[in-house]
Amino acid sequence: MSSFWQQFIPYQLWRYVRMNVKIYLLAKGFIGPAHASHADIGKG
Amino acid sequence: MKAKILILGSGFAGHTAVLHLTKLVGKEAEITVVSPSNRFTWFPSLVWVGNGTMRSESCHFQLAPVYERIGVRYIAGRATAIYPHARKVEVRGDDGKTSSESYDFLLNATGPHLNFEGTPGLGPATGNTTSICTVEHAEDTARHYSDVVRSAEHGSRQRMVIGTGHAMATCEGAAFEYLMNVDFDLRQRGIRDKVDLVWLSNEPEPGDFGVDGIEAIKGGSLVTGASLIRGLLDKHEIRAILPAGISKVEPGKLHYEEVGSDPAILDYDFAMLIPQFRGVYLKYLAEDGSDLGPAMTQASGFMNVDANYTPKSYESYRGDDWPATYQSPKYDNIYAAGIAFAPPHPLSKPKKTASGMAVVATTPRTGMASGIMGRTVALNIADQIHGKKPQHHERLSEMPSACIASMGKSLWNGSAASIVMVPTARDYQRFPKYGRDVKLSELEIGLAGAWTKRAMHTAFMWKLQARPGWSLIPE
Repeated sequence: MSSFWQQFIPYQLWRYVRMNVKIYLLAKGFIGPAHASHADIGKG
Repeated sequence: MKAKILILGSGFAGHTAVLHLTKLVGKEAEITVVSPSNRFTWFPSLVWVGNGTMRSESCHFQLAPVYERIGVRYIAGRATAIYPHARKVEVRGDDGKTSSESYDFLLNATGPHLNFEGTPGLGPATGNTTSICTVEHAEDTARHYSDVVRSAEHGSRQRMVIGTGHAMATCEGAAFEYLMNVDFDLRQRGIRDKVDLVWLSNEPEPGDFGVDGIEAIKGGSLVTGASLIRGLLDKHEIRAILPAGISKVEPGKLHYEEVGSDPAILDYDFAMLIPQFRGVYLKYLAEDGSDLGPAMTQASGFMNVDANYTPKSYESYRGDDWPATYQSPKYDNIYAAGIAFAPPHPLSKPKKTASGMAVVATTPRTGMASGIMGRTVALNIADQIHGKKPQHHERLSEMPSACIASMGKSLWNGSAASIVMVPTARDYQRFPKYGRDVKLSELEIGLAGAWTKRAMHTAFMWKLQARPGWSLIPE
């Protein structure tokens, strides 16, 4: 990562939002390969 | 009659299971937690406590008030023996009294025994090396670190060795975070040129982190963790010694063996070295008192679950060797999750030194992975309470993992490596080329990662205290 991009706050904000959304969707099971269903939390 | 659920341990796996169980079966079950620590620690932030850039109070909270609020019984103590046939656990309380707790369902989430004694001379008790594996260890590390800083500021050249203290240790990622945070802090103080930094690790190559490396597609080309971390170590003038195992520690001297080299001794002024993890001291006993341990655990002391433990070559490992439900193969009402379950094999390629020392970066099973396992076990126990078979599975070769490796805490000029692996353990049956979905995986370094790491600290401290909306935050 060049120091320019390191300090270019709008770019970093974009990476922050993108990464957090991606991690959230993966962790919730909304994207990515099928794994244990998160949807049935609460249904037992 | 309410079902009795007993959870041993209150770390990532145990505590996450408790939270989900209260939501899933809170009205149908009596949930009890046995844990020697009335404290939940957000371990990922101990890398900052260890160099004095975060106060230790910021990364832990008291569990008893949380459990009281969500209707969970808490026993301050340690499980000493499990009697699977009698469905009871012997508990030694913090007050020294021994009691017996019965259960219908049991989760062993006891975490690791920090096996400092596995490497002669290693660990805070010897005064030779430090660790960031507990709050107290991290506080002790911060004190030693400030001594090093003071000496360097007075012009005395210092050598700091950071990495793994045993040839089969795990959590290389945490040690690497600490290394990069020390590097960042020393630069901020203007004394980096007074300190030789050494990364001594059991990984087969830089950036392995015990998960057989990481790669992701960036801008149409494949980026590997090995090239990224190697470049980072070069750029930051950090000497790397790996793959290597430490055989003995003496005051100021580390005895180590590097694969492909003769045994050597490294002088040091400060060493933060992660120990090997083993299963905690816990007996598994039959009604007649005979030892069920050999049938229920591996030699490491970790508990067997529904994994494939058949010995085989590294090339023959499969994604479906990893456990799916975390249920004991012998007792269907006993589970193990987090560090407490026995992994079927390492993810990283094992190496051997000339003297025959096995150098293996053991699979990390902490943080997000532990939380997901805890949730999976909670769902499966709920299934059983509702008269069904456990229907939820989340193998390490199915679950994604996100790891934000801090490389400087500052939210202005700090940095972190953001790593996402999909899935955590490679599965070549599902993803023939790389064993992972490299388009979905992520690997990047930047200021945004420092923000993410700080945001995760805040979000998870909220979630794990079962504050309103906690279940919206995933593991």
